Amino acid sequence: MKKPINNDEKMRFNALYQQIIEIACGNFMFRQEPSGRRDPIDTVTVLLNMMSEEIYNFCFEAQKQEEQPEIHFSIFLDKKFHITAYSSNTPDILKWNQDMYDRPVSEILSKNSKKALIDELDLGTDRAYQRLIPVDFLSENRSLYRSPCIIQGMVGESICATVITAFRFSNGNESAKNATNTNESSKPEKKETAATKMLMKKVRLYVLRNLHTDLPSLKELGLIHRTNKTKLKEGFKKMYGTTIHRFHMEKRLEKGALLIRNTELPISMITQKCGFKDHSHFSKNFKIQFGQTPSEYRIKNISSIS
Amino acid sequence: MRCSDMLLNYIIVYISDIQNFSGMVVDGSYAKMWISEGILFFVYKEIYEINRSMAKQIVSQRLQLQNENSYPIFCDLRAVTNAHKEARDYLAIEGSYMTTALALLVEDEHAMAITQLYIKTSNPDYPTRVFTDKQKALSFLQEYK
Repeated sequence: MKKPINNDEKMRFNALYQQIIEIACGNFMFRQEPSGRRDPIDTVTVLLNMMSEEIYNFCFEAQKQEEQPEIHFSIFLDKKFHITAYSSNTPDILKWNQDMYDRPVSEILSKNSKKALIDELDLGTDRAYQRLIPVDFLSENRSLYRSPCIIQGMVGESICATVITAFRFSNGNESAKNATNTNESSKPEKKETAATKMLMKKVRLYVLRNLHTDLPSLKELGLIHRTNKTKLKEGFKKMYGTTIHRFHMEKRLEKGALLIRNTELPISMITQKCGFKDHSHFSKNFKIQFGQTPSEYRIKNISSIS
Repeated sequence: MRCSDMLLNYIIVYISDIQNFSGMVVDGSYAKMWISEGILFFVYKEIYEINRSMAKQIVSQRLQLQNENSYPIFCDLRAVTNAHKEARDYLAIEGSYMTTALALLVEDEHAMAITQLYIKTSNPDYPTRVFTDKQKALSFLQEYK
């Protein structure tokens, strides 16, 4: 016999359908907050959230270097974290169906994002740069809209004490490109296929797994991944904004720095663990990346848990 | 009632673990960790969402405890609700130095499905398995000691 679905379950299933439709339409920033019941509906919700995150990362995140940040919308808060103003496009983006002036910020942010906002403000304002943190805004039907944001505390006479500025990343040359694309003689830029992206992801993983040794030549690397040298070279640069060997060097030095800071391993052993044949090669490159020799870096950055 | 029973059980299990060894217990910002009988025990504190900077601190503290040695790791994830994609990737690949094998302990079937997706998408290159039973997790790690 068919088990009837109660109203609550019906609403939760509708939210899942909506999430699937949003993903199908290409909205990979859409997130749904699980109910906390840890039942199969919650499991599907979280898996869909993670799937969107994976797709977004696969399609767009790696190419961030080529993209320009654009201000998406801004929200101003007073000292009590009540909304005082917002940019005029905000209600459309977050699908608010009423004015939100004077409403507490908890009505527009997920619980965790409200906590992240307060933590960010607690870090103080003496930093030279504000970092981007992911913020989940509440949208219609309890769904979430995730956007990278900067949170800034304000000083002065204004009633506005905090500003949340949401960003999005897009290709800065979009308008220029559109203009050239109307010219039929212009050659459209070649787009990478999903297979190329998958291949480059595998190459990146290969590099990260081989930080303890020299990388083979591009030709050999191509053979390992069943592609040619040119495709490998161009594809990697396009996707990650750097060359394969430069990426390998950078990550080996980051690994070296991590081990210098957190272990008592002799630098000669760290040199070997990071795939350098001799100390001078390691030291020279380390100094270029971190501005000091490995020994100087150890003295200044040694951390201890005892 | 169920929750408090579980919490009590959880505390008793770890007190007995800690009592059985005489080394150092590190009470880090995000986790308690110690090394006992060739296994590194790593028990997360209650965290809603792990981000990349938290992941970096977690790896730093683990390496400080390990110093020069690699270990199989028993990682109790039950108090963690979520982790950002960037943090997941960092923990699985760049942050996995000196890990010979990893057993992840989770709360229930819900967390099991989520953690399976994590393992499948982040491709760790050391043996990794998820368990809801602590004893099974520990016996999986025995052969990597």
